[in-house]
Amino acid sequence: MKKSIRILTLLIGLVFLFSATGCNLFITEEVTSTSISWPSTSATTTTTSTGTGDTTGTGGADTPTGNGTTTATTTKTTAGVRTEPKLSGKLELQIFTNESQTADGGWTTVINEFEDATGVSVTAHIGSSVNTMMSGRWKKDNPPDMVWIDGSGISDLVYETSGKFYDITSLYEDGYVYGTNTRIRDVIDPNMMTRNNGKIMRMPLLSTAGGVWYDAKFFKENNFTVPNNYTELLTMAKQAKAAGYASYTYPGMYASYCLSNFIMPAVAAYGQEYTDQFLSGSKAAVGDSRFKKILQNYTDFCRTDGYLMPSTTTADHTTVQQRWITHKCLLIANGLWLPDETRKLWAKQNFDMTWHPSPMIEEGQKQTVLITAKKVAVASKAKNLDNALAFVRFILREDSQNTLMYSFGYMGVRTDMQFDVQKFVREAGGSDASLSTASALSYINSNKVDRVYWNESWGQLGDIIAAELNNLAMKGGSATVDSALSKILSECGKP
Amino acid sequence: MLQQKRKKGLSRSQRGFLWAFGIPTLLLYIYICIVPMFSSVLDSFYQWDGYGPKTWVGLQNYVEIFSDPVFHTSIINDVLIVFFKELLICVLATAFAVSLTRAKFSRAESGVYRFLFYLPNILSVIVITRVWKFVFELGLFDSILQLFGFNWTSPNGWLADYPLPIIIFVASWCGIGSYMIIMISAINNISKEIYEAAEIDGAGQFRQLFSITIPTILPQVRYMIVSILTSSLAANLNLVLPFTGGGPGTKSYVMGYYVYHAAYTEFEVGYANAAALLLMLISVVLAGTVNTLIARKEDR
Repeated sequence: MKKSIRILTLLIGLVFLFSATGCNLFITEEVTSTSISWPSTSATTTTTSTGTGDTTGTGGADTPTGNGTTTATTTKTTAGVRTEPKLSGKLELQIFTNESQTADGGWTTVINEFEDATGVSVTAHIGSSVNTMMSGRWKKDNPPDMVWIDGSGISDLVYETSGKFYDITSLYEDGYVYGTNTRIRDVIDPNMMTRNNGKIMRMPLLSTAGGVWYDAKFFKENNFTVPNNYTELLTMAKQAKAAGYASYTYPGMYASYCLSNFIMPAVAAYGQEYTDQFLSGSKAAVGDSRFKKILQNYTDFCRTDGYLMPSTTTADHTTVQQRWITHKCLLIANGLWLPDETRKLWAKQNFDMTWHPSPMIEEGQKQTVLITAKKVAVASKAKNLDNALAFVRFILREDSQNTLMYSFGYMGVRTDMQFDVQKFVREAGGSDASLSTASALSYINSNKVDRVYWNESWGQLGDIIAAELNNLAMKGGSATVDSALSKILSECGKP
Repeated sequence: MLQQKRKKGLSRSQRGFLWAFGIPTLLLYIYICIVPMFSSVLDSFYQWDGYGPKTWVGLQNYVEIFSDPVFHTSIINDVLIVFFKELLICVLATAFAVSLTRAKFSRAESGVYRFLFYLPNILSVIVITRVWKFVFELGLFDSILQLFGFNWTSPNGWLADYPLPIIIFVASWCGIGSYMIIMISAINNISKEIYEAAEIDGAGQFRQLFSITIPTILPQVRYMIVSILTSSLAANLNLVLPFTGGGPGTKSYVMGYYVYHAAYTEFEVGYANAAALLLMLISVVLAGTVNTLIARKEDR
């Protein structure tokens, strides 16, 4: 009897044990399931509509069938939270990065999250030469499904006009940010959208701005004042020259750095309308006395007064960065990625890398930053179109935006997201580089500056202006502001 | 009759061998070299960005190229680089070769010099440009000048003010080693008895150099001149691209860079093809002319 009771007790105990374990397993599964997939479809209402006409993109859960018919499926839970349709298969991405750990890591995180959430298998081509490597495939209409348009070796304008990009107008107009009830058009900064004949072919993902960088600690030690406008720039440069320092440099081999970060903000200070006209290559805007004055100031500053660091016009990134970090020069024109790009150079220099808007504006003008949107595009010949469109919606999620912002040192494009300096520094690992970038982003997001947007792609015009900036900077050079303007104007209006 | 004899001379298996190895090679050559070349010629008559549809523009690309002052600068720069490179490499490679073969260096000493002169040939062009950029841009060159008591300075930096002389110098520095090896082997092939006979006749070192050495190695000198000419016009790009990027402005543009810039920065592939075709024609004409001139001189 006692033996029977013992056995029975043991059996009951085992049942309890298994029940408990089973319950635990069950609970764990449920929690895991909730954390990786969108709300349960146990109580859903499904609406399906079919339409014919242009397959001009897909929004939310729209599914193009590829034969001129678009099947739109919208699935909602009773709680009003959208449930995404099941995806499967593959996705191939082309992503340019400067191969820094942080940028690559940011993309990898987002891609992993996308794979976990959808079950799609992603192949990502990431690196600094990826655009060149992939160009042959784009030419042969065998492109990757989605491209992050950044770096050299790719022209968004050429790809767009050649029909390489998929029309994502309806994705923008009617689509939702992945796994949310947020319409894309409601949260993307409309200033960053570009339309070509009414069609949207590129989706903004992140944004950035340029200006000048300086060592705040060195400035303080030497009683230099960071200049807010051209008059103050001249004052600082005069003081610096007396102390044996050059005032300004940029990688002359890529003079577009000077153009984008030093000259164009001065153009932007005259407002969005003038900037748009200028960027579209309008002869009236480019030939305007305002631009001529900027070029004259630049020539006087670099050539006549000799405040440009020698060797600038043929120097590459490494050379100018090295000379600037060793205090041969006070200001360098660059984008927001400079602290990350040069972190190894200045780590031991006791350097306080600080950003400032371009001082090329006139006295009395408000400091201005020119915001450039960094965009993604889906290939018109994408083999996994649904997955590519889902990925575009996925990277617009708040968490994806945060991950990419922190890893790149860029700003997001969602108007409903507030920039949080503390969070930025924390998420970026609290390094000196992230502190510098965070401080720059904080400045850009403050009311100290006006924000003007750079949305046009201006083809060869930018190259011509950049080359002329080098010519105008040369001491003893034969180029004059008039001759430079004449060359630049001859390029205006060309495709 | 002779052809028939030759035909008869080849056995069936030999003919089979020729067909088996000749035809695939020929087809490969046509596919890799001839087809792209004709395709480039055809594309040069189109306005094309390399991706989208092509638009027939006839000779417009050529007209634009000839009216572009940057193209003129590129041709002039190419000619200057080639001319001075020829001069420096020919003179120095021959001089070094003569020194290392005719001067009384020990075997080990001669080996060290050969290694040192040949060293630039095994360095990557990126390393070379990096090193020389440091020399000219970071003040090392100024320090060397000061060491010798020269307080010369360059207002915009040496590379910005004198891009072409510096490119010529570095390109020549890179090229001397390999041609020096060719010259050494040519000089070593000259019979020692000739030099001994000359010495007995009372000829000094300089007389021996100009009457024996140089006339004997003239075929190699001709090869060197034509080889530098043809390789330079295409290869100047390799140095200019990482060194100056064609700058400052367009001051150090060469034709290769002009083509590269049009194709890969401006995405004007039709235009770039037209420029590339002109570059090829100029190279062929120049090489042909120089080759003919030297051959005539040799015949005399």
